[in-house]
Amino acid sequence: MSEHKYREAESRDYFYKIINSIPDPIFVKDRAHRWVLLNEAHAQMIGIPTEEMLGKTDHDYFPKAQADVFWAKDEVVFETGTENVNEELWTDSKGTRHVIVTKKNLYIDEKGNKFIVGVIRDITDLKNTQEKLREAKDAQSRFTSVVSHELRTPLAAIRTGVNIILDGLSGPINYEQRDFLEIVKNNIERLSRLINDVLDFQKLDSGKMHFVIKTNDINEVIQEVYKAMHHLVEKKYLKLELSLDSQIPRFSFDRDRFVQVVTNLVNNAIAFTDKGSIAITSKLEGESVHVAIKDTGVGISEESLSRLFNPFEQAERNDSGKRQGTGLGLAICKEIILKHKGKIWVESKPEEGSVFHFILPLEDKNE
Amino acid sequence: MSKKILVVDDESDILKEVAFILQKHGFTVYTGVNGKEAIELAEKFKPDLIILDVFMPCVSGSEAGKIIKQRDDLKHIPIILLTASVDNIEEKRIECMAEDYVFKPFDYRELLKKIDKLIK
Repeated sequence: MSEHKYREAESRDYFYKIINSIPDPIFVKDRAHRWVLLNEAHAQMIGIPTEEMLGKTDHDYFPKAQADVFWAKDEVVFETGTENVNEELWTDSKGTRHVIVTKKNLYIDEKGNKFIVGVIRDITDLKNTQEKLREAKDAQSRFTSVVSHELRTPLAAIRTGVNIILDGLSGPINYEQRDFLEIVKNNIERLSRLINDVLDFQKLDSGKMHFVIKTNDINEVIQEVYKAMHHLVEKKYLKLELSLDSQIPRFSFDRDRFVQVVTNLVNNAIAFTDKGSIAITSKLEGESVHVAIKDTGVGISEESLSRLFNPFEQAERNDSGKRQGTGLGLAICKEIILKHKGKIWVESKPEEGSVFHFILPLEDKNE
Repeated sequence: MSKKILVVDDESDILKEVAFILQKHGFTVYTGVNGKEAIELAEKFKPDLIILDVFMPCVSGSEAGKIIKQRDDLKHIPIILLTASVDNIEEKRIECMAEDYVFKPFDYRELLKKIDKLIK
């Protein structure tokens, strides 16, 4: 054997070694759609030895309808030279169905002969996993919604019963009884908030939250929250200040959801502030609205800052302050704001206070 | 004469509480435990307002509401839906042409406010 022939034989061995090591079926067809090269993975997939298939076409092995489809796709690649990627169902010789992706590319050799180089990938496992994941998400979503429904019903009975007694509808109660019933009541409210938050977060997370996007006034939302929260602020001898920019035009957003966002942020400010004030400002900034809620509270440590908007994270209080939240409030705020194409962030210094900012674009979100 | 309210809920505890509160606030109260009874009691007592739980056995609250709102002799009666499920309640309300809804666990003062708004 000449040196040249030997080298050629060696490089051919080397080439087959490589393509036969690849687990994805590989094929090459000439301009007459005849197979001229097939790897071992291909033979395994089709269940026919390579030697037998070489020189044949799709019409020799597959039902006419299917072979015609393969043929037509090959022609497109031959004529246009553009890559063709196609997902299809494939039933193997044992009758098992597979989902496969075939990628076909044009190759032109130095003599100008056209070939199709095809690679097939079996994505059955991937598809099954995706399907299972989707089912699991659906099941989780149904579970959350059923559980919350089942929790709300007894909670409704407990809440109403306690309120009947507390409000004296069933007769007078003494100071101590009232004191303990207030504890019961506060914890019912807390449990209700938790159920609502879990459900809201789950809906936002799975994209099932339904937004009512209408033209609204953000200052009106802030004023509504101000009125509702005023008494809570006074209870702690704090000042609640408003500074609203009257230049802000009406724009489209979900009003109720922003009452929820602002309520949440003000609630947090109250919970983490023992003296001083809470200030809410709104400002028109170009094509956006900027709302800030500033407090003079305990502040947030650098370490907590990065995790603050993650679900089930709560900023630690260094003092003995009670943690009242669900750990979902800020995660929900963030999701609502993101869904409105806005952003939320926080600036804080321990012992000095925090400022929560959010920005909403004025653009129409009704598309 | 005191106003008449029909309360229908398959949860007997809630039914008892709501009836008690409404009586304490001067209403005459009739109660039922499913949608079928809601229609029968509405025919019999011609209440000024109906409070209907959405999910009930036999005939559901939303079905009963729909039937009541299609009857010429009953359709003028305002309906408040009561539900523990927050999903699609606005769709349900429109579907059975109810005037309002309240989520469980509700604050009964919120319910009283909505009643006042509808029948005062």
